[in-house]
Amino acid sequence: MSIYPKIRLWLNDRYDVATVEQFVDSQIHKPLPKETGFWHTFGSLSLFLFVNQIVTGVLLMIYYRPTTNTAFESVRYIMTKAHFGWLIRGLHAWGATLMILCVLIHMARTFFMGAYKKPRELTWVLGVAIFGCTVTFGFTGYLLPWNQLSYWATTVGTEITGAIPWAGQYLKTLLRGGEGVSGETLARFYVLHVVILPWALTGLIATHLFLMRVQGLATMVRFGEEKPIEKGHGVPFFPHHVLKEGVIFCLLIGALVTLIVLLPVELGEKADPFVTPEGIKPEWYFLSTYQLLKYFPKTIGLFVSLIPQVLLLLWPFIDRSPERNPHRRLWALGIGVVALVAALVFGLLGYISETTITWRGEKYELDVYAKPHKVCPAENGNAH
Amino acid sequence: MNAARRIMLAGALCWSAATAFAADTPWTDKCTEQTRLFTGSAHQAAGLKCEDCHTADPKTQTAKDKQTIAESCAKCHADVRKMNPYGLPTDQLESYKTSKHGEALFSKGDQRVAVCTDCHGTHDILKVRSPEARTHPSNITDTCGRCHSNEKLMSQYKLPSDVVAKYKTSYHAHLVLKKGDFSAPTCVTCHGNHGAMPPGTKEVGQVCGKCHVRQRELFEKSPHAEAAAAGAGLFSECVSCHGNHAIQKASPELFQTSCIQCHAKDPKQLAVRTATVGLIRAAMYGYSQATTQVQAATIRGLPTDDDQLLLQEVKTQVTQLEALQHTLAMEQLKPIAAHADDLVRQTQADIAGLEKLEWWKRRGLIPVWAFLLSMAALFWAKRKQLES
Amino acid sequence: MNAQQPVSRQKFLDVLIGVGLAAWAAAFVAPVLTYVWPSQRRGPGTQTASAGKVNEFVEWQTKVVAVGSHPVIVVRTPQGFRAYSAICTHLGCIVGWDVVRHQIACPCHAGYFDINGRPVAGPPPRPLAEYGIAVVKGEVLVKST
Repeated sequence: MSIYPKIRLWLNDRYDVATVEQFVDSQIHKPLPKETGFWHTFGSLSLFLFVNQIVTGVLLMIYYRPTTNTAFESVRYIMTKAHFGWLIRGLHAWGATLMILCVLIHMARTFFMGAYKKPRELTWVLGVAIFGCTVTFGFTGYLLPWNQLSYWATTVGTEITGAIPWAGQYLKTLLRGGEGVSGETLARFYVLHVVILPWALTGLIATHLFLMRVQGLATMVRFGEEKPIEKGHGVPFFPHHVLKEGVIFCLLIGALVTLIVLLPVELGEKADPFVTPEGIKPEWYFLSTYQLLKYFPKTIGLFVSLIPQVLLLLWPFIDRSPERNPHRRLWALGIGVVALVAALVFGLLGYISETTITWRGEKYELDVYAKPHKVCPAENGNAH
Repeated sequence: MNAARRIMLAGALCWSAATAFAADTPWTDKCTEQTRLFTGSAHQAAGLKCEDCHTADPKTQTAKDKQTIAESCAKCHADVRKMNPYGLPTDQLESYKTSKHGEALFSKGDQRVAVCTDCHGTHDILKVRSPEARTHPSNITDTCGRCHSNEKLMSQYKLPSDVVAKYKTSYHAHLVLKKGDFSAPTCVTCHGNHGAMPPGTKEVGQVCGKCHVRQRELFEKSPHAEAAAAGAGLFSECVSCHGNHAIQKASPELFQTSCIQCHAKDPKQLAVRTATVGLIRAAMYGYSQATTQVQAATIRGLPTDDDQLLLQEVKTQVTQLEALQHTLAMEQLKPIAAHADDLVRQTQADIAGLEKLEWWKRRGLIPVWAFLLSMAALFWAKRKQLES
Repeated sequence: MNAQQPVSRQKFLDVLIGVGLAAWAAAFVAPVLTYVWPSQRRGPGTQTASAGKVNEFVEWQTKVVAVGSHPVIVVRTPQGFRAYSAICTHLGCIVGWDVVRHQIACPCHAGYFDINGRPVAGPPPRPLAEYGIAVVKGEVLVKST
């Protein structure tokens, strides 16, 4: 205990320790508006999960080898030989899923509470970029285990870029590092996943947090009528809000560990470019886009699927009314709810497409559009 | 079309070509079609000329009978000095004469039987190893089938005309024709080529044993071998159970259909069959069960290296059983079956052990949640304390 | 006494939280450290297995060892150690050693391989794949090449 003053003295001889201390102190104890509730914790949860991804990602890199001959085997090594490898990989894989979920909830919270409005438009735009980065993380990371599912999902996923007019084929080749998905693709995705995206996302998150800290959290007050928090009226970030976040963290970690143990991430079968497995589907966060693309011709589908993303990015500049309370922004509320429902419906359709379900004792085969076709047992018997 | 007619037709073609040319050109220049066929043949490559086989203009000759054809081929092909440079044998005519084909031709003058040209062709003869040759393993079946699938012709000899069709349904044909495995047998592998004749009931086991060495060896130790040796025609070794031309990949099903052919009223022997089938089936079932379990565990990412090794050993036992049952010796089968069973159990126990670990992981969730919930409660209490 | 009670309760809560957080940190660090600690002498890159000490082998003695999930037969010849895949190229049985013939023998269909792994008798269509051998400090190591 008595060592800190000595270190402080040593540092103080060299740096302006008092200013740093004052800054750190003001940041730690920064008062938050009284309205700050549980919904506000999803931002920090996303940040926590990002840190989790970095730590577990670095640990996975110790054993992972990104070549077609060794990628699958090294993941197998992590799963079967390395102590707690299953846990580290589970934390990384399920952490990614939960991170995307948290980012989505955080975005929805911001949207419905009108927190993206003036003066926080740029924070929103950065947030959309963070979301894009996170999803790209998911897409590139999915290929790395080099199993059948990841190989073919990547083949289908990168195929979509080919539909872009003029530049499509070049983009596809650039992305894949050749004609098809190969060792070159693996190397490219690996570099994106472990070098480029982490630094990009770190920069984006830092700026996003900086803006948030500078401007403070939005309240439900119309813009222009916001007042600085009076002394003693806010909720201190530490320890009050952090404790609230602590409660949610506990639940999140519980959920993470439960998912890892009850729904373990599979190793799968090694990628085989000559055998296409049936019913290739992307990860859940791409399902709605994947399903939407099916209903349109290639190029048109691509543009249609881009509309929600462009809308999302430009939303603060489209909806410029000063009102934040959702009850007084029925238009925005409606659009938000419709978009969420549409994403859910398309995602669900994508999930059940190309499967067989039994409903009220009848078997139905669902085609790519998730349209049910009754399977008649007698007819089936004749066909074979 | 039989060969004699072919030769006549060739002569006719040559003759009609000849009328179109001036009478003083040599007869060989007029045979454009034959020359075309001859180009690229093995004989052309060896530097042969028309005159080497055709002593004179075929137009002026009557069609040769098949005996003459065989003898004229043998002029070179039975000459050791001529054949040596090509590494070819010289006993073709001699062995042909011992064949059913040769016997009929040389002793009865039967012109319907196959002679050299029927299988090898005339002008366009190719080496056996060239894939287009009529005698190449991938084509020989159809070459034999030109006569042996001809119902009308075969009925004259009281021979079945479905042998080629049957062969084509066999596993051997699957290997040769579909998989391109030319080490698998075609007609000539069992029947011989120049000395073609069906192997007798005594010899058939030797013929199969050429490739299936181990099975043959084991079979010879069985009571069936004695039966085959004793009662001529009673038991024709391999064929009695496996069939001949339409031979299929052997499976335990074979016991159901073959044993009753002789032992239908023999409950004691049928009991042996049931026991043998039971052993093999159980071992196979155990192997497939264990394989499925190990595969599922591997896909899940559980450590199954040792189990994959065990499976390999189980497979060895099962394959050994399949060969060993030819001895009909239960006392030899039982220990291997028991070993296979042991290994399967060991594999399954190992997989169960891995499952148990997974179960412990799930159990571990209880303390984890207890800890996390109490931490959450502590944080909550601290916050309440701060607020008050 | 009465005035002191809330203070001690507060202290108690702080201690509990502190102990909890410390336990939490330990529960995080422990698996990470064991994960980082090598679980075998070589990593996932090369598949290597030990066939035992050199002096455990007399001349022409053999041993089947597992390299990963693949059985490998190791033979000590007068010229040194040789190692081959122990999976017969015919139907995949595990091969053994024929003491009399000095050849690798398959128990299923009497296939024989010579000391160079080439099939010399019976149905095996291809030679056995050869494995690399290294003798390090008296230990015979087999590695897939």
